Parts: sequence; structure tokens; C-alpha cells
Amino acid sequence: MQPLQHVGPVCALKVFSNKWLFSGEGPSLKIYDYVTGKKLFERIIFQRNKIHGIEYIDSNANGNDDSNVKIAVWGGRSLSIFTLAQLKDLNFELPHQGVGDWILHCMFEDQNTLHILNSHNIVHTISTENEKPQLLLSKNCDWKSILYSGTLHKDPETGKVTVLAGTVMNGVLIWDLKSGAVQHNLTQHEGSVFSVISSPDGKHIVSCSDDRSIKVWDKETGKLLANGWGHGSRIWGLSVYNVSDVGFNVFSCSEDCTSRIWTFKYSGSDELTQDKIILGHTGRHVWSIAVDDQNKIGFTGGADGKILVTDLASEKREGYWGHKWELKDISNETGYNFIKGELIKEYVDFGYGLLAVTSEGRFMILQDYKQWLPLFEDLRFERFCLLKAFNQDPIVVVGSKHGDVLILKFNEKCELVQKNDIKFEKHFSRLGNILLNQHNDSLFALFESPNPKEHIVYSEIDRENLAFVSEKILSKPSDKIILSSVGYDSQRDYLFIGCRFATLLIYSMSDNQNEPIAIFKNFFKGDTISSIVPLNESEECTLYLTDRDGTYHLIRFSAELEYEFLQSSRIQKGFLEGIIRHANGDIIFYGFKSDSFFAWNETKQYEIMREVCGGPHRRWLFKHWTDKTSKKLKYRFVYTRASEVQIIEMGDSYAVELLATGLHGREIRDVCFVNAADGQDEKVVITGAEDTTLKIGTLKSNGEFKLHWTYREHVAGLQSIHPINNEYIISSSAREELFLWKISNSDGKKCMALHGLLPPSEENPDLRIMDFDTIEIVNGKREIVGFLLVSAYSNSAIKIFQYTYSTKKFTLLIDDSYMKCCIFHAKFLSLNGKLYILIGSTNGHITLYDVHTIIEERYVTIGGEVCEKVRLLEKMSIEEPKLMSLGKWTINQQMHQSSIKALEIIQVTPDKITLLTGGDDNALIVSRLQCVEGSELVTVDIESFNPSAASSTITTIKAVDQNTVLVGAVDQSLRLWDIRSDLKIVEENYTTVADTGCAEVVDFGDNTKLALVGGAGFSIFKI
Amino acid sequence: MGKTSKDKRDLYYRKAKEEGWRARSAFKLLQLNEQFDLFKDVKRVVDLCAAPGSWSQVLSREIFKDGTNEDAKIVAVDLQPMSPIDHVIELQADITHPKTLEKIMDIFDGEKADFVCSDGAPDVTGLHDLDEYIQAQLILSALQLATCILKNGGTFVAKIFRGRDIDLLYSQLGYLFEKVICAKPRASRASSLEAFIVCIGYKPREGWVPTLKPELSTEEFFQDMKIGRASLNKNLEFIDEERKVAPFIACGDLNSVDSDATY
Ligand SMILES: C[S@@+](CC[C@H](N)C(=O)[O-])C[C@H]1O[C@@H](n2cnc3c(N)ncnc32)[C@H](O)[C@@H]1O
Repeated sequence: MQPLQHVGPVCALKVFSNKWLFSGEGPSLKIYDYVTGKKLFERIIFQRNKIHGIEYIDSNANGNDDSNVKIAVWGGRSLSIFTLAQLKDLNFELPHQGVGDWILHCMFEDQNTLHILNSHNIVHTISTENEKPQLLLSKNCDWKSILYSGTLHKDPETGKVTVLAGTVMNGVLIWDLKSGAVQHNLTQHEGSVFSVISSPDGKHIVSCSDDRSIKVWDKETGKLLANGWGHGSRIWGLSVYNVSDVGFNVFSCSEDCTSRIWTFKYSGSDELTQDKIILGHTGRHVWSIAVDDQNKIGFTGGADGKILVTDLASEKREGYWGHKWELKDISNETGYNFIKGELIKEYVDFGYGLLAVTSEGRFMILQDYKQWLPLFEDLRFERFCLLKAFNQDPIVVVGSKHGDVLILKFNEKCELVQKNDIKFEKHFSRLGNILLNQHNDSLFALFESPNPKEHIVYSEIDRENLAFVSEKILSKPSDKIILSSVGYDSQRDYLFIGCRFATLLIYSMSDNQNEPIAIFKNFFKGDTISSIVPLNESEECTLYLTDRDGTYHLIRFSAELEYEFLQSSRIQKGFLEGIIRHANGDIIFYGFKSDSFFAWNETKQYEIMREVCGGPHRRWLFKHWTDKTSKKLKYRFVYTRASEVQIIEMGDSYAVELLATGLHGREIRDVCFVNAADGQDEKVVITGAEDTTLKIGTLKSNGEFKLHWTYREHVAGLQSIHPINNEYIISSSAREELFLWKISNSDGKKCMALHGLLPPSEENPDLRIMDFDTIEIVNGKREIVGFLLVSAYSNSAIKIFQYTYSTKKFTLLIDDSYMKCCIFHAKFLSLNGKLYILIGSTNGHITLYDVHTIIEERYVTIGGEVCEKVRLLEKMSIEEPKLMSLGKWTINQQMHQSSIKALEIIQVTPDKITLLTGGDDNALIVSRLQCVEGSELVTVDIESFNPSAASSTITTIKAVDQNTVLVGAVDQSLRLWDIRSDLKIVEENYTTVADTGCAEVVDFGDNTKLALVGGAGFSIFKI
Repeated sequence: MGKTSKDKRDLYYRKAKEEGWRARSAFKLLQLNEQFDLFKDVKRVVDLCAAPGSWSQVLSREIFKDGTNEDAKIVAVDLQPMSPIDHVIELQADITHPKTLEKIMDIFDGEKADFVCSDGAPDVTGLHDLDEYIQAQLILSALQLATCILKNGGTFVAKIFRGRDIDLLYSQLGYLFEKVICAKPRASRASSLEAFIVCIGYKPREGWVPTLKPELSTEEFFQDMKIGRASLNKNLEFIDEERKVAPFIACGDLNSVDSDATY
């Protein structure tokens, strides 16, 4: 087996020469160029250990040649020292060394000397001059307690090396390497110390711990100078940067999934001030941290395998603009004398500046977003004024309560170049809303009255003379309808109007009809449709909808306006206001979360921006565009807070925002795949994890995996995911959740939407659905109409349901239970055309139920030599199902001493099945299930047995072919066994995915088989 | 959801309340004893990482079942204070600290123990390899004490998490005990990695004197003992340590409550 890809916890990051980032992702060392975002190089360094640290020495710091830079990489007990040239030379075998104990930190004293700190507070100094390193001496401070953290620091002035050691209990020990003398024993932390570092100048010590505090100490006196409180959980890592005469900054990362920026001042407060919180990692834990001090870029690596880039000086970048104006500033600049109570009511961004109006009908311009200028006063617009600007044209539409409409055009100097005053009252007694829309290169405005009896007017505006060129009356459905968004499908000339109560109206614009051609009330569970983005890509009419409550959908309409949800999900807490389809295919959302406005990349799962603005109830606008040269997303956010108008626009960032996308933030519990409808070389892979999310992506035969979408429908950690066919999959979890998903393909991504769900049996469910299996049901024309589902529960319950696609209903047919123990596996089997259910449980037994008589009451078993191909034909005229029980088992045999954690079946012939089980007892068992000739009897016989097939629990067994299985265990062994006659190991491998819990073997044909292994990470091997 | 409804459903928890055990862990030790007859002829016991004390309760009830037992002694050690248990001498101390052995030895008046157990677990970080390392270090500290205080033929039981390097520990314990078994009581959840090593028949390394030298780290202590642990050498060679799989035994009645079905 050959490792191809790995995503998993990022445990080490190191900035190299202020241009590259070295990262340790599992056993692989990767090099990224963070200006372009390109991954330059990757190589596996260790066989068994994850990389926990990277250091280097560049003796030729000013030269351009990096090749002689010496690098030390360590993890666990392993150490490897090599030059950059050797790393890049794949023929060079990287050395594997160690010091017999866990390594915490290494530091190059010079090109040929390396100090190594181990977890028992001992420093070994070695010479790296020759190929084979030489131990020179070992030093300690007579205090060999076990450490959680530690670093070595060389004073830039004196050259003295200090050991900073963080103990498992409370202590920070500072000692001098040369003399071994303890300088300080700092004991003010409570609990383990997870990181302790020196400021680069050696004057301060910064530490963090279990107690959620960051502490800054004076190196000389050992005095505690300041505390930093803010992290919600344990703090794992620290970096000090930006050291100046007045203080420095600290960048920290934590279990709470955030990183934070802090400022420490030498004089003044005894608190570190928290400047910024960075969110963007998912799941739990940000493990690693690094800073490019010169360019002020921060990097964090998470348990989610993501490497996030944080601009530590965003406000200093070229093009950055952030400002706030109090009312009196605006009054001063415009020369308007605001009366008491006068407020800035509305503003819009027309691309060169803002147009704003006060509650007294005074209009003004924020020229270049910098300088307020008066424009005109118009009392028709006092107190109530609608203000909307087109996205790509500097044209603004203004409306009054009584139906006066102004259309204004500006030039790039923000001068008003044209103004059209239109009396619009022939249609309206009152005007309540204006929505603008730009399509087919034309400008449209939609006018709505608050009076439910009055129609909607949809007018085209001429760019040149600002007059209405056309006008279409759209009748409003009689119900109370409040419009919130518009979208236009230019392929079919449909106008979509989104409303409150998740209501969607569709009007056809190509004919003369005024009535909507479709009305969908409570289209989905939600409130206000906040945005509509049609794909306009093909004949098919597909659009994205966001709902203010945080859900989003991708919906396809057929020519008959039948619809199908292709993709539905929701963001984690918060309100959605809009969606951006970025040029690179990423989907970006924006909206509000508690007191902030945010923009979130849903495809790659990271936060792009966050502005603490006080929450959603305020005047705000978000203008975004793609920079023509860099292709980066640019934006401007304007909002009012406490009557101050605030503006923020990011400058040109120095680096990209993300270097590695990662996958799940917690342990992957199951993985499944289906064939992609298009393309032989691609499979659709779905993973589910302890973080309660499901993810869908594509896998290529070269091992390349790409994440497409994330689902947050489950509220409990996932248990099992299995496909029914290439279109439908099922996922199950704790809290009795079992969801049926339909997979499709849209907007260049694989996506899925919930098709059905199994209602839980209790109001407050706390059972886990451990496993399930399905058989398809067909009708007389052999069309698939549903499936039969067997589900197994943590309380020993076994249930069989019938699901019908057309009604989306699960009907309970059998409700029974095995014993009192938890069932881990359930499978349908077919022997001689008869159906059985096989279960494996915590009591180490496998149990077989003959269900063919029960099933044949309703179905005829057809087709298939093997179970996967067996289908059920529904009998005609069947009555209402009556609830049945499974009856007595046919076989109940103990195989393992305790839990059966892994189970796989291989159908050998129609009447013979090879059963493979693996358990908590380390044993691997091959047994045979077969029909006794000429009788109804089925027997199970153990064929071969290995009591110590792994050194701990076997958690997964997958058939590679009829004779070979892949067996994974919690000891991280990954073995191929030949299961013929005797069990023999064919190949022995090791995975750095800890908590190894699931695997899948994917066959691409042409002898290309890939093994996917999930746990605390995700690895792809070629078999 | 919530904790309370789960506690209600946890039958071991209820049973522990009924029978007067301070923690449901008591059943783990009871089930281990059922399988291995651990308490036979046991008089002097060291219970490491003992708080809140259910193992000590089990031991106290067993050893002092007739009310008195002449030279019997139970020492319970934990970082946390524990409320008193009949016949149990409590010691609040860190088992990784070199001074702790001295204190235990003082209590035993130079006599050896028949049985040393440890149910300790450090707080986990979530970084699996680091957690396994730290857990292994805690077991080594317990083992270090055990090697110094256990009589020849004595028994050592300790909680383990069967992760990737557990086979190293099995192999190393094999140098010190007649029999090393990995046991999983049914009271311990199948879904957790928790298990117990039951080491029977202590046989000290030949020529080795049972003392704890405070100047040695745990690592150096065991390197001196030569049980196959990797050591530091001049060329920094990485030494692949011996690995061995210990036999697995599930203990407790199959019909006893399944801890996985009830949480
Ligand atoms: C699972 S509890 C033990 C339960 C106990 N066997 C019972 O039945 O009540 C684990 C204990 O290990 C203790 N512990 C962890 N590390 C320790 C150390 N270094 N020294 C002493 N006790 C420790 C903790 O304080 C905790 O009370």
C-alpha cells in the first residue's frame, strides 16, 4: 500500500525565510508559498510519528541559495535532520534518529550543533557536522519532572541558551543550559502548562495553560507582569511578534477553536488586551501556530487539518480604509445644520462613494468614501426614504412614501451628472419597497406598495436618459406578502421574488401574463428569503436561495416548474443575508452572528471577515466585487452604530487566506462512496464525524480529494453512513437520527439534500442508531420505488421499515429486540435466495434471523446471486402492514470475547458467505455461513482465527477482493490479510490516523484500488 | 439529553449507589477479581490514583471482611483528598513524585506489598499521540513504585488505553511479571479504549536493587532496569523497541449489564 493523501491534525508550523510555510500534517512535511497559496513540496518524513516540530538554521541568511539550510524535524521519539537540498532529493533517504524519549523542542546553536529538549527536562546537545550525528553532552537542572511543553531560546545579545519548561502541574521552570542552574520556578499557573516561550529579545517569558490564561513574566526577575483572559478553553500555543520599545503582540491558539491577537505594553496595565478573535477552524482545537514577524502574517493549524492565514496588520495594508463619522463630523463637512433628532436614515454605495439621506430629506455624498459633501434637500423624502443603488452602474433609485421616484446618476468624481424626477403615483397610493435587479445588461427596478391590493411594478430603466423604457404590472397574490429579494433567470425569463414566510413567487416575463406562474408558500422551513441567485448556466433553471434564519438551498425547477432541492444546509448559528459565487467556484455567505457581521467561505469552511458591528438591527451595506488582477474577493462594509457611520475596506493582503482546506474537526466515524454520474475517474465520497457534520467531496484515482459541501443536519455525532445506490445514501447517529440523502450535481459540485428522515421513537430520543442496511424495492415495471431498511440500536432494538420515495414515508414493519446489549452491526444477507438479517453485538455474538417468511408476506425476492443485487418486488394488493416481530434467531453464536467492532461479508456463492469479524479482543475471525444441502438449515463455522491480529481493538474490515481484506485497528495498524484457508498477513502498514475507526476500499477499475481510512484524520492509500 | 437523564439510565451508576460504592469503577475491580482471583491471600495493598475511593472500598471490604486482619494494610494515594474509608490509610500525593515511594514505604515499615493497583488517568488533550505518551508515563510511574514495593510473586493492575504503542508496554511488562494479560471488564464501555493490564507474579530483574533514585527520571530508571525500552545512544540511532501483544480476556458475566446499551 502506498500513501497518496493525508488530511489530519496540523501539529507543527514554521515560517521559513519570510516566504514559505513549513507544516507538519501527520507524518508529511509540506511547504507552501503563502503569497501565492501554492503547495510547493511535500514528503513523508516519519513512518509512525506525526511531526510535532520544525526548526532550521540558515547560515547563509542573506544569500539566495537555500539548499544548505539545515532543518530538524521531530515528532514523538523521532528526529530527522537534513538539508533543504536533501529533503528535495527523493533519492536521498532521510535519516531517522531519536534520543530515546519524547522530544519537545530543538534549537540549532550553530550550523553544526543542535540542542534537543526532551519531555523529562533533559537537554541533549549533538553535533550534526557529519552524516551521523554525535551526542556531545546531556544537561539537566536536577529537576527531571515530566513536561507538557518547553522551548529553548538563545539570547540575541549574550548568546546564552535558556530552557523554558512547562510542567504537567502548574510549573514553569526557567534554567540556564550551560550551568544547569534554575533561574525561576514560576508557579502561578493552575494546571498543566501547554506552551512557554521567550520573547525574541529574551526579556520576557510568555506562557499559557489549562487555566485559560496567558501570562507574561519578566525574564530577569521572574515577576508576573500581566494576564490575558479571553480564551474559553485550554490554550495550546503562543507566538510573540512585533517587539518594540513599548511592548509586543502575542498570537495565541486554543481548544476553543479560535486564535487571538493580544497586545502587551511594558508600562501600564497588568492585563494583555485582546485585540481580535479569529474564527475559522472547525470542530475542536487549534494545535499549532506560527508568525512571519517581518510581514506580519499569522498561521494556525487545526485538528480539522486546516491551515488558516491571518493578516496581523490588516489595517496597515495598502488600500485599507477604515473610518467612523459621528453626526457632528458629517454636519461639519457638509455644512448642513442638523436639527435635533435628525439622523442618517439610509445610504447606498454606488461604486465611487456613498449617497446618504437624513430623516429631514437632506441628501449628501461621501465622495471617494472619504469626504462628505452636501447634495440637495428635498422635503418629499423626509422621515421615509427608499434608497437603492445598482451593483455595477453608478445609478441610484430614490423613492418617497407617496410614490415620488428620483433616478440619479454619478460620475467617478462623485458628481451628480443626471437626475430624473418621476411621478409614480398612478400605480400607487403609497410606496413601501424598491428592489433593484440587473440582468441581460439592463437595469430594472421593482416597486411595491405596502397596500396588499396594489400591484407590483417592474420597470426597466434606460442607462442614458434614466427614463422608464418599459413597465410590467405584476399582480400580487392576495395574501399578505412582503417582498424581500429578487432574482432573474435569463435563460427562461423568469422573475423570482422572495418574500417573508419562506415564500417564493415566479413570474414569467416573456408573455403578457400578470399573475405569478407559481407561488410556493412556506417553501421550506424558514422565515424571510434574503437573497436569490440564479445560476443561469443551462436550460435548467437552478437557483440559490438564502434564508435569513441561516439556511440555504440550491433548487432546480423543471420546465413544468416542478422543483427539487439539490442542496440544503445551514450555517452554524446566525443570520444569512446573501450569497456570493466566487470566480474560483467557492460559495461565500454573509450575514450576522450575534454582535458581528461576517463573510464565510462555505466551500472551504473558513471565515473571511468579521466586523463587530452590534448585530443585525441596524442600517448596513455590504458591497463586494472580484479584483480583476488578483481574482481575490474585495469588499466594503458600511454600517451605523450608535448613530455613527462606520466604513471598512480591506487593503491588498500580503498572503492568501487559506493554505490547506482540511476536513473534519473531530474523529471521522464513517465514510462511504458512490459512483459519480459523470466521469469514470471520479467517485463521490461522503464522510461523517464526531463533529456532527457530513461532508461530500470527490475522489480521483490519483488520490486527490476535494471537499464540496458540508451538512449540519445531524445534531449528534455520526455512527454510520452507507449508500443505497449511486443516488441515495443514509446516515445515522445518536439521538435516533437517520437521514436519507439524495445526491446530485450542480454548480460544478456534488451536492445532496435531505430526502426523508426516520422519525425518532421518543420525544426526547437518546438511543444511538448504530448501523443499518437496505434492500431496494421495485414495482411491476422493475422501477425502483423504495427500499427496506433494517436498523439496529444501542438498546438492542432491531427494526425494519419500508421506505417509499414517492411518499417520503418510512413504515414500520418489524419492531423487535435482540437481548439487552448494544448492537454494532446489522446486515441483510441472502442465502439460496432467502433473506436473513445478521447482527453483531457488544456481547461478542453474531446472530442470524431468518426473515424470508415475514418478508415474503409483502414482497417477492427477485434477481441476484448476491445480496447486493437482490431486489424486492412489491406484491400487488397488499393490505395495511401489520407490525410483526423477528421471531427466534436461527443462529446466535459467540465469536469474540467482547464487542464485535468490525464486520464484513463476502458472498462466495449464492449459498455461501464468508463472514469476517474483528473485535475488542484483538481477534480476527473468518467464518463461513452456508446452507446445509437439502435442508432449511444454515450453519456457521469458524474457518480460521487469529486471537492477536492487532494489539488493540479491530475497528474496521473491508474486502479488497474475494481473498483479501483490509483490517484496521486502534493501534493504527493497517494490514492486508489473505483469508484463504489460514489467515496470513500479506502486507503490513501503519497509519498516522489515530483513533482509526472506519475504512472503505474504492475500486476505480484498471486494477486501481484506493483505501480510505478515517479517524482523527483521513488518509488515502493505493492498494 | 443532559447529564441527569443519562445518569438515571446508567445501571452501573444506580447499582453502585445501591451497594454503597463511591464510583461505578468499583465494578471494574470486582469483575477483574472474579476473573483472576486477585484478592486471594492479599494483605498489604497500595491503591494508586485512588480517589474518590471505590477501589479502596472494595479492597477494604475484602481484606477486612472479618472485621480485623492483623498485619493487613491498605494505602490509598491520590492527588485529590478523599473522605475516610475504614482500614484505609490515605496519602495525598503525586505518584510521579520521587518522595511518594518513601512515604508509602514508611507506612509499610519496610514490608512489601502483595498487590499494587492504579486506576489513574491524566486529563486528555485530544492530541492522541501525546495523550498516549502521558498516560504511558503515568503507568510507568505506578510501575516504578510497584517494582520497588511489590513482593516477589506480587500482582500489579493498572488502567491502560489501548492505543498505538500499547504493545511496547506489554513487551516491557513481560520482563517483570510471569503473566501479563489485557483484561476488559464489562463494566468498562466497549466504546472506550479503556482496559486493564493484569500483571501476575512479579519477578524483579536479577541483580537490580529496588530503590528510587530521585536524580533519575522515570525514563532513566527503566533504562537501568533493562526491560527493552529505547535508550539514548551516541549516534542517536532510533531504536525500534520490542512489541508484543498480550492475551486479551473479557471479564464479568456476559449477562451482566452492558454499559454501552445504557448510556
Ligand atoms: C478514575 S479516578 C480513580 C477512581 C478510583 N479507582 C475509584 O474507584 O474511586 C483517577 C484518579 O487518578 C488521580 N491521579 C491522576 N494523576 C495522578 C498522579 N500523578 N498522582 C496521584 N493521583 C493521580 C486523579 O486525581 C483521579 O482521582
